[in-house]
Amino acid sequence: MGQNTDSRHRGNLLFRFLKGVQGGGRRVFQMAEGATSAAFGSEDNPFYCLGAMTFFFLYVLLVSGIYIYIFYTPGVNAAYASVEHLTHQRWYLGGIMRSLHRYASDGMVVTMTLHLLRRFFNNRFNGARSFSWITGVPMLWLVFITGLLGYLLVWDKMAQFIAVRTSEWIDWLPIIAEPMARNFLSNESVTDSLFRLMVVTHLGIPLFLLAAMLLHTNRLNRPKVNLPRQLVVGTMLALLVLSFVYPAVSQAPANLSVAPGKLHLDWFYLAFYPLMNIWPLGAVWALVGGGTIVLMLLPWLPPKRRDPVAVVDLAQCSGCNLCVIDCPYEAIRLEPRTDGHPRFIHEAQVDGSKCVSCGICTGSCPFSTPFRHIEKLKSAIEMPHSGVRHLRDATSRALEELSDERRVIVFGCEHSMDITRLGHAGVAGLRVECTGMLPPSLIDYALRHGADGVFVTGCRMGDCYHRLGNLWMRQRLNDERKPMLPRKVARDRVKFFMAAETDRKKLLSEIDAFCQTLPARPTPEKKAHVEGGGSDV
Amino acid sequence: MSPLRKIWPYFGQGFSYLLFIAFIGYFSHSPSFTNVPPDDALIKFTFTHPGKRIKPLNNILTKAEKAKLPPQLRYRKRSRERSPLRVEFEMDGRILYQAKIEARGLAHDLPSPVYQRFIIPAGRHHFLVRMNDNIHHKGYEYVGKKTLVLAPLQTLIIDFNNTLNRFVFE
Repeated sequence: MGQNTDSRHRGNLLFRFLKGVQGGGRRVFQMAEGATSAAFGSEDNPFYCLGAMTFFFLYVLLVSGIYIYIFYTPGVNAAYASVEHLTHQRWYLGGIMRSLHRYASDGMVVTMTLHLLRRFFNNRFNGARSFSWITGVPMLWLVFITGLLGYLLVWDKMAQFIAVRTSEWIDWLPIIAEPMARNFLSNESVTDSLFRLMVVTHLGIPLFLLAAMLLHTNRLNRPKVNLPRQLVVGTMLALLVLSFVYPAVSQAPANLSVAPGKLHLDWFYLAFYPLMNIWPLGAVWALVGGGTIVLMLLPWLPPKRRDPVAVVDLAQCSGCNLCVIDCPYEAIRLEPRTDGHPRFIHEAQVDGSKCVSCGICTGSCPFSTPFRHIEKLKSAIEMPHSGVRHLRDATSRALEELSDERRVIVFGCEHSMDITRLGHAGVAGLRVECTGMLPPSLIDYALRHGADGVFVTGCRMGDCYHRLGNLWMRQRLNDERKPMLPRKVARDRVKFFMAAETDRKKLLSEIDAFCQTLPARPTPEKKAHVEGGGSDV
Repeated sequence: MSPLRKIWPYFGQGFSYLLFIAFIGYFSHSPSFTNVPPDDALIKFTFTHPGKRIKPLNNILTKAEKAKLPPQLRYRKRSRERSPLRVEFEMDGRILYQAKIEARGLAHDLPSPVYQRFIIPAGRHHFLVRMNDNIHHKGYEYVGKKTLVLAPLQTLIIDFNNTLNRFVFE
């Protein structure tokens, strides 16, 4: 649909590499997501709530951290002793809280990393989404710095290792005259005030992190920041079980005159520390610093897809607010009328920098109906390259090409399975940017113009490429959201089924079953049998 | 729906949580990592020392000459650059480290830092360290030598005391 930037970049080696990596990663995720969907249900699938789960782990960290802080004594000798007292003398609550704190912080790294990888593999990081991506990358550093400071506060052998190696690593940068690592040469060189400083920093950074997380979701309509209840209960229970079975404990106390030998590392935070023993410190900087820069630049790497943004036709816009409510990216605002209309007081205005050209506003506009008799069919808000006229014409063309006993139109999302090559007799596939851009009246139009049934498919529920498109579509078809599917449309002729790229077999069998169960229609004439075709709208 | 089909998702959820905590629990502590092998010792050869000024600070401009210049240029005219350090660290007659360390700072007027770590087998070793801090002199002005028996995992610090102007082995 629209300009196919993918084809323009196909010769680009970097583009092909990126596409290959993304495709492979996406398939792995979809297989795992398929399995978890069967257990948790599609909308409560943990893979679709990775951001919300990261928020949840942060809340656990804040609560358990406040409790631990009450008993913690900062100081070279006091720190280790107070943590040991908390872990062993008050194991029933203090020890469990410490373990929860430790494992929630590890869980946070896991969900944060999976969240980042999913966004990358699913190509959900560029265009208007780059804001969330770019604000997300520095948060990785905040999480890691906070975690490392937390380990230092225990002042055991691992803390000693982290303190010395981190200082040596920072000293590689020629910015500090006196090497930081010289502060950790002997036990006497470490002071109590260093611990007080670390406590303040360990408490302060999470506040910045919380603010950064709110900024991260700032440009999203209905951001998913609250974990579904069943996942809250399940995850909390899982963390508690782990804390009881395998409580977090300290290693031997730090002693700077004896080098840390064998260490039980927390690999979620310290995975690249062993590299410092193998590689030159500059190479570790290149990996970590270079990796951060590459992540920050990803939204600008090819293909930089940019379809035309939504356009409002003021002559038709009534300021009904439906597109404003439905836009997943808060790209549409309702503003005072600029044309002095006698009846309407508001108009929709599109912020081009936030619009991702998903077309969901077209689906929500009451003027997006293909039945209107106007010279040039147009909606009050639509994409210039795929408005309601394009949708209507493509539907009509597809119907003309079908001549079977049963004629079924399949509307599919461009970011899910390619439904234009289904190979089913009597089935035509039409791809749209998002199922949410389909006006329900278009389904009525297809049924009135010869289709026996309309099948709508797209990304799995809870995992819409455009965040909310498939949810809005389902609600419109279920008479739960405006504009609704006209009442006169026979519901048994419309089917809504969500499927990912890896669900091809399941989708084909659903389409088969739908075709079989379609009631016969008393049509006087049927054209001769022709193999089902397909096209992009 | 059969009872098994009703229960199945709960098994799936339980298994998913089990997998999650097993993953977190394992990689939170394991596999272990050997920072320094148990039979080895660690040496940190580290100090900061200001090299001698390459040019003397006085007699560059007379007071009358300075007065003619704007304040920021009076300052600039003085070269504050320090000599780089030449250091050498030898163990059992084998050179482990040899380097020329430039003074820090944009004007090269700050002390030169040295920080090197070596993992060596524990036991008896003879150490020899040498340093030159004046570009106009050849040879090494400061020399330190010591024979020590290092215990496994012991950390030996070889520092330079800038007050006493000599190397210390701690």
